[in-house]
Amino acid sequence: MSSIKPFQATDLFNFTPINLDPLTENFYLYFYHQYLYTWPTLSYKSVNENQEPTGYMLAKTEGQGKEWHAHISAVTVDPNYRRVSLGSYLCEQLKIVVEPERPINAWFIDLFVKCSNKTAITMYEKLGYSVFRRVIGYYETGATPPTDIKKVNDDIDAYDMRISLKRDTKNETVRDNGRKMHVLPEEVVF
Amino acid sequence: MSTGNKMIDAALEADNYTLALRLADKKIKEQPNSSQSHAIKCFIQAKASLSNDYKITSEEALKNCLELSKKTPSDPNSINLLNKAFSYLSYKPENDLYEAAIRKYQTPNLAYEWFKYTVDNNDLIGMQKSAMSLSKGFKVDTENGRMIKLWAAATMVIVIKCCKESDRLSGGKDKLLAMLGLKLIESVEEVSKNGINAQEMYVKCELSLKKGDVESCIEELEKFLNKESDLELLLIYFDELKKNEMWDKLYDASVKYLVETCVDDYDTWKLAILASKKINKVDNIKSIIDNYKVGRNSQLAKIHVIDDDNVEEKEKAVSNYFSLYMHKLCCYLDLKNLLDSDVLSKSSILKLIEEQFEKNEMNSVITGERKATEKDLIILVNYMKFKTNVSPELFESKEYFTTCCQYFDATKHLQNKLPDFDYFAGFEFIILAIQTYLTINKDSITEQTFLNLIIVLENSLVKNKYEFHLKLWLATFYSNTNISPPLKKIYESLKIKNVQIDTLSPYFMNHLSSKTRDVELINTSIKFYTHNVPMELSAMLMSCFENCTFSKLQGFIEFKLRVENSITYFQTVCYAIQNARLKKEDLSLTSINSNYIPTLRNAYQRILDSGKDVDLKLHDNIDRKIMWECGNHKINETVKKIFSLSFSEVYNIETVEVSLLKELIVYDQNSRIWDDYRKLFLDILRNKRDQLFFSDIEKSILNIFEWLLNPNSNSENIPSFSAKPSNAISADFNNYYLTIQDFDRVISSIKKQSNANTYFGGKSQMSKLTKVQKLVKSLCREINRDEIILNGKKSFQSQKTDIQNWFKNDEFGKQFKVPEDIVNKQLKTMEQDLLKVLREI
Repeated sequence: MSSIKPFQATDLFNFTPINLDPLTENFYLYFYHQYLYTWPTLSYKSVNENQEPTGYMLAKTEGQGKEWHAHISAVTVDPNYRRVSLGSYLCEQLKIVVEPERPINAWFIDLFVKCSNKTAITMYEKLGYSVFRRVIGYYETGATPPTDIKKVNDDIDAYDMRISLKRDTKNETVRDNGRKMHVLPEEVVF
Repeated sequence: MSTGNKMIDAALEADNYTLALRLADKKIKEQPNSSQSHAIKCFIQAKASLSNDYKITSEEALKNCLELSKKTPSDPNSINLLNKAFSYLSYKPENDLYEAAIRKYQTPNLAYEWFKYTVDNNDLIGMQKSAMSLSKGFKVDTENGRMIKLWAAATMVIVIKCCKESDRLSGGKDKLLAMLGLKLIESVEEVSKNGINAQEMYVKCELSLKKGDVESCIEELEKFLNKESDLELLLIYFDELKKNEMWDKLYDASVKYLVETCVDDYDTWKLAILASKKINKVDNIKSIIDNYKVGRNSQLAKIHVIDDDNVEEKEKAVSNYFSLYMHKLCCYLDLKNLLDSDVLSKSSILKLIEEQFEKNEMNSVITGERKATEKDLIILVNYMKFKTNVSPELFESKEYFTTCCQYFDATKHLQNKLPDFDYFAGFEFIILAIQTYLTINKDSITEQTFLNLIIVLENSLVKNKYEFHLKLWLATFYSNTNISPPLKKIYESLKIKNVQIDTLSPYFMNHLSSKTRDVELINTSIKFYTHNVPMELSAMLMSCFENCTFSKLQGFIEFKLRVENSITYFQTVCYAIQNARLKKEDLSLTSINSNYIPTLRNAYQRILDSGKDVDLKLHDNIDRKIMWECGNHKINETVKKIFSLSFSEVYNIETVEVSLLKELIVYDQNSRIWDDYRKLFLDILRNKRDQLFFSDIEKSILNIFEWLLNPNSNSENIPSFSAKPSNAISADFNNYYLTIQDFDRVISSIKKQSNANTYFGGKSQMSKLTKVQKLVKSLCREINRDEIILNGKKSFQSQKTDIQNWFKNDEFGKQFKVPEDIVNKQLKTMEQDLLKVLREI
């Protein structure tokens, strides 16, 4: 069973089973806090019947004009609640929050996912997301930033995936051939 | 804290109080009317009074501070310095210095500084008062004015919700605050063209509810939610409808959320079902559930909507759920509460899970007729979880142990094709088998038991390296031995950092400073509390105000309070002190006094507060459930007892209180309240001894402390030391030797810190101390390191053969099927690690 509840700073004490996952980043305190005070409605958790957290979403809004959108920064689920579409459930909830005219009225939602993470890409595609562009070397941790736009590497490149929302009546914020559109990380600016 | 004068700060850093005071006097001479110069002097005197190097008593320093405070200094720097001086002297002024100043000199700047000070210092009531005072300086129709009026109203919500102890908001003060807050919000509303936003509405609702305006609050919420959906407000709305039994409205609103807004939310299903039963609309809600998209929540709602006395229908609904979700890990957790509630009988649950077992042809997997799939694995895991939930006595059954091992064997091939970073759910069979083994053998647990199980877990992690429960259980077993180096490796492999330091590090650091001198983990933890926490949290809380995100304020404040007053923090400080002593750092005394003792003084204040409110107590943020969030997700009391007997029991509040009081007694001898430390320490030992987690040698030392701190104790009867441990592998081995050596340095520190004005400076106490010192020194001299290494090698060799035999021949050991080469490799690593720690003695 899952219910959606607001994310509070004190929830950080109870995220151990979720954040011990090797793919879930355990951020500095200010990172979570910043999301909570800047975008209070875009961070929430799913809980079980005992009100224990089973997953959470951290998202923000950014951009101007037709680039005004919600960005999923982190969505993660407790290992015991995997493969029951809880990740999708958390993503769908974001759409419910940012799509209406008031208070956000976003054009689209986007997220970054490692090109090698096939499971996540499939999940987002099922939810209606499509690749908008490939960001070369987005997850590169070395000192030299990537410069060659043609040099692809699934382990360090990210797909910028998007789903357009009601406001985008002409589907202007998404494209069909996104996998072929390569950009460098510094070009991803809103 | 800086005085703002570089030369004075430099002198203070070098503990040169004479020079610092001379410079302060010079400043006073130059500017006799400057309150800051006088405040600097008070600050220096307060600090100096705690040191043995300067001749001013804390009472004299306090007198000077009080004299200055009577003059009501009004510049923020002076007030902050004076407040800090009072804090060094462990004195809480009767009148808040800022409040007194603002009464005389009402300026927005002073009020803002006061507000910031209360935010930094978690002063909740001060926060409300200062925000109110600040709001008086602004008009509501200005940008800042609007925000500050809202701060004032929001802090009233905080005080009302957090300060619940009877004497804090007595005499209807809470309602008065609510009324005052509402007036502020209304004044904001009047000048807001577009009305108020969700965050402001949140404050308004909380205040209205406190005032008792439930109906108007519900009405306002309805209006707002019709225009804009806000989760926080929606939950308040649902809650109020339920509390006030407004069932029609609750039914309509919850169904609207589920159906129109399309949020498949289980708690909302429960509300809709509850309301439907109250207003005879059960058939309607049943029809909605039946026509809803199939998902876990709606299927669980199908179970929930059936009355508990209709067992037959309930069984059918549960059976339907099993059919849909038995191959999902959350199936067990989704139904656990229902199973625990006794609505269904034990036999009917067993019948239902056996049906699933047969329907999914699990026998063919176990007999090897077909290879288990991922789906089979989860069904088997759930099957075992359900079985032990219904029949916990299975933990005493050898047959159940064998079944766990069989199921692991039948599914372990699935580990070979795990996707990157994924984990193998069959680890649950190993955890269940270990719990069963420990339960069956509870009366014959030895060091070897832990070593055997360490090898079992290390082997399981070879192919399942991302499974964190296995790692936490492994850490617990290592903590029950003298082999501490792997703890650091496990900690690092789990990438524990930031808030996890507070919740998880105790599993790795319990007694660590008395097991090894290599304490990188302790230093990492301390860094989190002394760098990240102060750098990040106050600023974040201020940002929360500046962004007017009022629905998160309480969470921010509670988070800050809980981390800053965490027992993990204070215990880690005690470990750091012990480590500094054991490392014999030349500067250990100075660094302990300046880096750690102020922190422990703060901790002592929280002990004194000893309240229920979040700002009046120490906090235990340790995740105590995580170890048991596998298997049948229940604490296995027998296994827990085995852990409690030895070194892996994670410390509790009482233990931390004793640890930190002990350090304050040693290092804060010049404090005005030293005798209070002494009394409280003796009091806890007298009344809560059975709640303390200390090793035998640590208990002996506490007994000696008790003897030393009791002025009437017989000076001849020094309590005896516990016996030397004989087995180098046992968890208390290094602990014994390092604790003895540490105690030797503790006594030296006490002597160094004492003077004619302190308790230990007196003749009879000093003579008792000297007697103890002689005894400890003789124990230290008796330590024969070569013999320890030699005996360590010998005892490990004899255990080695026993361990090899256990895996080869024991009825339990052989069923784990750990390959011989893995056993031997592990034994080699263990021996190296053991010798490494023995060399540290």
